[in-house]
Amino acid sequence: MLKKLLFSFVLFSVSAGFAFAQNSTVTGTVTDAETNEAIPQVNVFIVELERGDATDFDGEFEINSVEYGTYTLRASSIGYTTYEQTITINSGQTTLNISLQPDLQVLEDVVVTAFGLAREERSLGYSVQDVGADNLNRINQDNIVGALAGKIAGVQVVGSTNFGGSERIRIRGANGFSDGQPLFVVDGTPVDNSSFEIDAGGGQARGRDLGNLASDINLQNVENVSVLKGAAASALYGNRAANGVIVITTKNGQIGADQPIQVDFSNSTYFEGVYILPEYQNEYAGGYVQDFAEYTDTRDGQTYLGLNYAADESWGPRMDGTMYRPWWSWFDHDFTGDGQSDYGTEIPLTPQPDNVRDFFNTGVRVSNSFAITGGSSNASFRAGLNNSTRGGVVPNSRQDKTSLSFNGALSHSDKFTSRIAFNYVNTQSEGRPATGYSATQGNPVQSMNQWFQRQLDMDKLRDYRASDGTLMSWNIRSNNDLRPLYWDSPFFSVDENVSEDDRDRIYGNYNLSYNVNDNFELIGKLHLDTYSFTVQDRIATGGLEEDWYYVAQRSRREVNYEAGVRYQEDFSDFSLSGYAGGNILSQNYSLLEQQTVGGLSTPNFFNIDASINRPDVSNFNEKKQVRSLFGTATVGFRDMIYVDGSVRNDWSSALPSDNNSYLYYGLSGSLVFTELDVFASQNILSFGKLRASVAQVGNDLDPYRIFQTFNSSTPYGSNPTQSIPSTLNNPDLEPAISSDYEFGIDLRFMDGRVRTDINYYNSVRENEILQLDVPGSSGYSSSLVNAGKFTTTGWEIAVGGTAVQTQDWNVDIDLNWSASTSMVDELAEGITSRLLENAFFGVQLYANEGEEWGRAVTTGGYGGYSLDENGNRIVNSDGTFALEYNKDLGNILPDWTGGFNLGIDYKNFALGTFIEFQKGGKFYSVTKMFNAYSGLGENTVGNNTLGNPVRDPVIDSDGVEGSTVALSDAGAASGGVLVEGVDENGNEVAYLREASLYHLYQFFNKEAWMEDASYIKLREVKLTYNIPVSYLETLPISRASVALDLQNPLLLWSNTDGVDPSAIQNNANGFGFWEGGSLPGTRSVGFNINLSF
Amino acid sequence: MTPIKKVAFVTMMTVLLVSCDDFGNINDDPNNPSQVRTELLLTNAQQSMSDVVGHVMGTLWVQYIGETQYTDAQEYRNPNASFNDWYTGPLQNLQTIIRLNSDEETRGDVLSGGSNANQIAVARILKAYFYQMMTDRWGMIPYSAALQGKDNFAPSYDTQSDIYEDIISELKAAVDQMDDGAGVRGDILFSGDMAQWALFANSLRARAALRLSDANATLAAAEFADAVDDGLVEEDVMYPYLADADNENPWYTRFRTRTDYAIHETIADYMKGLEDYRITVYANAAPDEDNGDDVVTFDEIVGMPFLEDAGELPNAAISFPGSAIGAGGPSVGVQSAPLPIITVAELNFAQAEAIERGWITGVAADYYYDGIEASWNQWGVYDDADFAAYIANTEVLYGTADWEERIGTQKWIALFPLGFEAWSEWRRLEYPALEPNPFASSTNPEIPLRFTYPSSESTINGANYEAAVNEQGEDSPYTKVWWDVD
Repeated sequence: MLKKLLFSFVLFSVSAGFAFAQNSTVTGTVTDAETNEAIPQVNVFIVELERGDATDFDGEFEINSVEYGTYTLRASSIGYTTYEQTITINSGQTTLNISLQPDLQVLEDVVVTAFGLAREERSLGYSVQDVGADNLNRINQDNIVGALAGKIAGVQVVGSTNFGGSERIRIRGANGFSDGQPLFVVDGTPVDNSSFEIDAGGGQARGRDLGNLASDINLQNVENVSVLKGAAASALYGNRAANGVIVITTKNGQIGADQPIQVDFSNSTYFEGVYILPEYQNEYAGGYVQDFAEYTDTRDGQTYLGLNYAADESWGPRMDGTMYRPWWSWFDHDFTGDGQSDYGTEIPLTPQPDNVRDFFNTGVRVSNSFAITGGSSNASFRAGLNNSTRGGVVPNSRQDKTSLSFNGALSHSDKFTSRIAFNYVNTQSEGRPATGYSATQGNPVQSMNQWFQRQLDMDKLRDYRASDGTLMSWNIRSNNDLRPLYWDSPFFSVDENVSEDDRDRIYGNYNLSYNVNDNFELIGKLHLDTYSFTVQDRIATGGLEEDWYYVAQRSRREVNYEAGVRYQEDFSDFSLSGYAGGNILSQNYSLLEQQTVGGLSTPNFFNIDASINRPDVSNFNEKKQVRSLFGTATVGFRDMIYVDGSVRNDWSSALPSDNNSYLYYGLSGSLVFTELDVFASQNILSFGKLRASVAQVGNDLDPYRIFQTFNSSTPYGSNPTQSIPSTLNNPDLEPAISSDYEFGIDLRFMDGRVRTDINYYNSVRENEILQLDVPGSSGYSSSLVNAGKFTTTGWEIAVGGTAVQTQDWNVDIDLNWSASTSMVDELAEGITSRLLENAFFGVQLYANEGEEWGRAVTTGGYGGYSLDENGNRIVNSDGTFALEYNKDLGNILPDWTGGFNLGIDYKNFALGTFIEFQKGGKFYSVTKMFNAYSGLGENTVGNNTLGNPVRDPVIDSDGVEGSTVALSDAGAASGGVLVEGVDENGNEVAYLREASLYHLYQFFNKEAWMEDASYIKLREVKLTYNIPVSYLETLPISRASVALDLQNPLLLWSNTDGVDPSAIQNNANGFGFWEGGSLPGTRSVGFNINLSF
Repeated sequence: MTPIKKVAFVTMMTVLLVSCDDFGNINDDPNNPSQVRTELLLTNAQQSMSDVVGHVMGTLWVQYIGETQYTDAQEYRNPNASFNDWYTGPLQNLQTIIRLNSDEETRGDVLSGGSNANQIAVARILKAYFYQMMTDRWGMIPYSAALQGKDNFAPSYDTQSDIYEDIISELKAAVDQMDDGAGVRGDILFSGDMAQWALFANSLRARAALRLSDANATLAAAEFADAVDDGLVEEDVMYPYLADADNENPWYTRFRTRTDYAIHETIADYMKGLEDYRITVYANAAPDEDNGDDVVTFDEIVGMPFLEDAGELPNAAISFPGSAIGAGGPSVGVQSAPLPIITVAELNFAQAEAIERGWITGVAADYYYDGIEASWNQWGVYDDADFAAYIANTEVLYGTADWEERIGTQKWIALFPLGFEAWSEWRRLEYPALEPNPFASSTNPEIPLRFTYPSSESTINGANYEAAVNEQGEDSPYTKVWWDVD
């Protein structure tokens, strides 16, 4: 191969460099090959010279001053196949008559549907929307889920700001009661997209988000992504397709004589910086009260001013330059680098407005890809190699990804063809940032946004170990007890409590086909997806938390064996095609998880052997099989009417053996009404199609949910223990069937220059297999049952157009918009509410019968504003808002979402921008809540209605200080936050409330922290310059481009500040309805070089 | 392989699929045993007793403990608690022990856990123990219809009087059914000593009977006297924590990295005022007052007052709970410090009261002073001179006229840190006279008198929840439970 490659280089070099200095004029006419009519507005272009002309109304063109030589002439127009011809100019006048073939492709787009069947879009009775590589991977991205955001109508992505964090996808509203995730399929191979986390500390504390596994798919290799949204499109993928299917096709070579070998190389380098941070106040230092603390130094007996270092809030003294002892002045250590101990140092108390920003690094990501594509008359291949190395904005975080892929096809004979796709990916991460609330490993971002002191100088924290090895942190308990109270130094957390993970993954398929004759093809396929994933985590010795080591090893293998027969035949008016086959799905999963208990026997010896108490070890194995038979058939009539039917039967090992078989079907049809004669005599509507479908998808459940078992629980000393599981398994479960219908219309105008697609759908899921909460007093907290009815309805609209097309300019616009409603019609007998997720501190997410899925409701001692009948907030006589408990604070699902894509090409420049938007939906911001509670936020300072600083003491007209005073009775110099509303009797009242108490009490009022998730975000901007071929003539390069990329350049508009509402997924498996403790949003600038040889 | 063979292979695969709905044993769970051993269930159920004796909430409400920084709980903001875990945890385990030992088909398979009768007896005693704690907290709860699994996913509530009657009869019947067969295995409290179990059951019966002093005096009198007759424990029954992170004292855990709790000013000031030496082990020295030696003196102890903004008071100015209850965290606390389940002191106070009420005969003052002495011994502070001086305090000195205040107050001191029991006895006796937190939430300004039902009950067991609320009164922390009679 190398030889061939070299040979082509040589050829290239030789053929370059000849030129003649004589000129010619090229003229001619362009006509339609079928009608022989002249075509206006055709671009006729000499590629090498980048010059050309557009035809006039008579279809004529003229290009002047063409030097003698051999060129490629290209003629292009919408609705016609682009024409290319090699011309040799060697006389003063050259005349060319060009006839263009009408381009059926434009109107007959091919999309990839179930089983990788490429089908003409016109024949589909349901909506399939796809994204090509250009739009999908315009900006080099790590996670295919994030790359889909806003690009497809009806697909909502809840992004994550976490480094390598999990991103969630919703197709057509909530995906059932459990809001399941769609199935990812790469070249026909189902690819696991589980999300894992290190759940240190248990419960809600969270640990580290290990990301969703579809991020292993290398976007550089992706040719196209089709999203199958409804049951009709996805029925053939079986039980896992109930939540939609993301069908990914990778790049491949072409079989065909004389395919050149093409070598592509690209490099991108991105620089990533923090852009969204909460607005901090820079007036008051750490502490709970504004008075300085006084400390007696036992060394010199003197008394010094200091702060309450143990406080992790900023209600302290005003930063007015007063000399005080900072936390580090109590350590006998050199922090300033002058060679002397800083013990006893006094410094002025001054603001540090950039202290949080100073913590973060500039992240750098370098990605290199290399691919060779080629083909011959009986074979084709594409081999790709990709490496990306990424350093995150949090110090010491790093991810390295290497992937290798090979796609090949070999035609053994006229009848036999083999295809193989092989992908190997290795992903290694180090120092993934801790997430969530009070993660045991220490979460510096949570600290800085929620529990911190504003005067802290980040540089003094970098040096966190004293010469004797003890740890030093700002949060010391007092001047003579230097142990930290709540927080280690953030640099200790990120430098020493380091996680590592390493995943090897192989996925791919082997596909053998045999053409029996022109109509029949036999197909056998084997699909494999397997990975081995090792995760380690640690807490170093000496910090706040007990030292600890954790290791988890997961491995999973899924194999699909498929065999089938394909049939296709065209009769005079009819066409018939179909596919029938069978599949065996086999899954194996195992997890071995171990962690130390009671600390490490040897400091910083990170091994399970070091566990002081009996280590916590658990292993878990899972096996499942699903066997299926299926068939699909399409009948077409005169390219105008298509009827499509499919049927599938699954047998699942996870269901009770006497009820493990389930059959489901789909039926769809389309009518291309522009084929009717009445449309023949107009040229405005060039294509119109109506489509309708009804379909079902069956679903099963995870293994081992049928029979009663017992739990092995925490031993007591040498006594082992067992307990009864709190979920009651059910041997009487039945498979669940959901059904969908959808209607759509696809209209294209002016030869496809304007395209619209409108779709309405209704999906009903009944009798889903649910783990439903039951009263604990039954002895179980939940039981597996078939229950419920869930309806999703919605609209999807996609509009696209080529606004401008001239020789130099091309402007493409695409807009998509969708709205959906996900209603919980029924739960189970006697049950009206299902708890979905519990967020920190009193907000829960519910599916309530008769309401839309995803209600955020306050719980326990937390509430929302209590309103009188006129909607006024009721204020108690102590100046606190009266609260209504168990208050419904609204729905988390957006009203509508969409994206806007603009592509402008001008000569060799291409500008692509992409805007994503969402209207409505709510999320709960723990960040903003504690940012205010702790006095860190800008909203905790400023002046009140009397013109006095809100943090000044609240005083009445007699000058008596209190926590609340009626505004009418307030002293002229009173501080305090204005609280307005009505009393119980509806009379207007106003109070001034002491600021720290105001924000402390607002903690109980969750309504204050429910944020509107609407936003408009400029997500991507890419400016590309394609280097003219003429510059490359002397180089062995056939194509070259350079680009400047901006990722997340601007949050154009949102109703909230300080957090990015488009990226609130803060843990691996949550529903994306609250945020807190995640990294701030980042913005990247990148450079991109693409070379083809 | 020739094309023909390939076709045959593909066809064969398809045919193979057609009749295959038999997956063999692939769906048998390899991760969890399908067999159960009752002794393992017993140990697990007993581990849950730690959640009764080490619970925080009661200690805040009776002002043993104060919150140092985040004061929600002592502002009575969270009187809502879930009882579900008690049912799905220990009660379900115990019910399973009873079922497996009763069912003809299985009783022969579970003898490694002890004789059938003894296993059932112990399970009944522990069920009664957990149920009493629960009804004391919530009032009416599902009882007779509970723990029936899928046969009843909507358990109705029983009145507290019915529950108490049944608890008392269960405790008696359990002792009566014990046999001479093997004692229970897996028992972390009494190592299978059935005689100890009998005394423990009698003691619990005395505790339960006493609780009904105002609500059903007849039953209370009879059962209390009977229980005393049958014999009470002569040693404190303590929960045996281990020096092991999975089984450590919960106060030790709380102080492992944090300092959220201090000794409350109410109990600290009261005990300091009387020179009650138990306070020197209930609490550590406040760092600011610490003279540096190992002995904690009254002067060094500073209780945590109620504050609107608790952060105003630095940690160094207040006393944390003492290592005797495990508190203090690494290098300071005692990881395996035991906590009381039921003590000799408590039972002495109970008998003193029973004498005053005329249920049993004897000298009330003797039991009263024995109770105090037992408590001093329990905490290892007994000294003849100190004790003599202490009981000579007019506020300690016994008097029949004000026995309710004397016994109520001394019982409150002696029950430390058993918050739930102290809270129940405070509700019954109304002593000591505790002032509610002046900064309590405006919705719940008083010390709660019960826990409200878990919010899930109204949505998933609605009809029965409504019926219980109709019977008992509003689901509020201020609706009194049945035995709480003024």
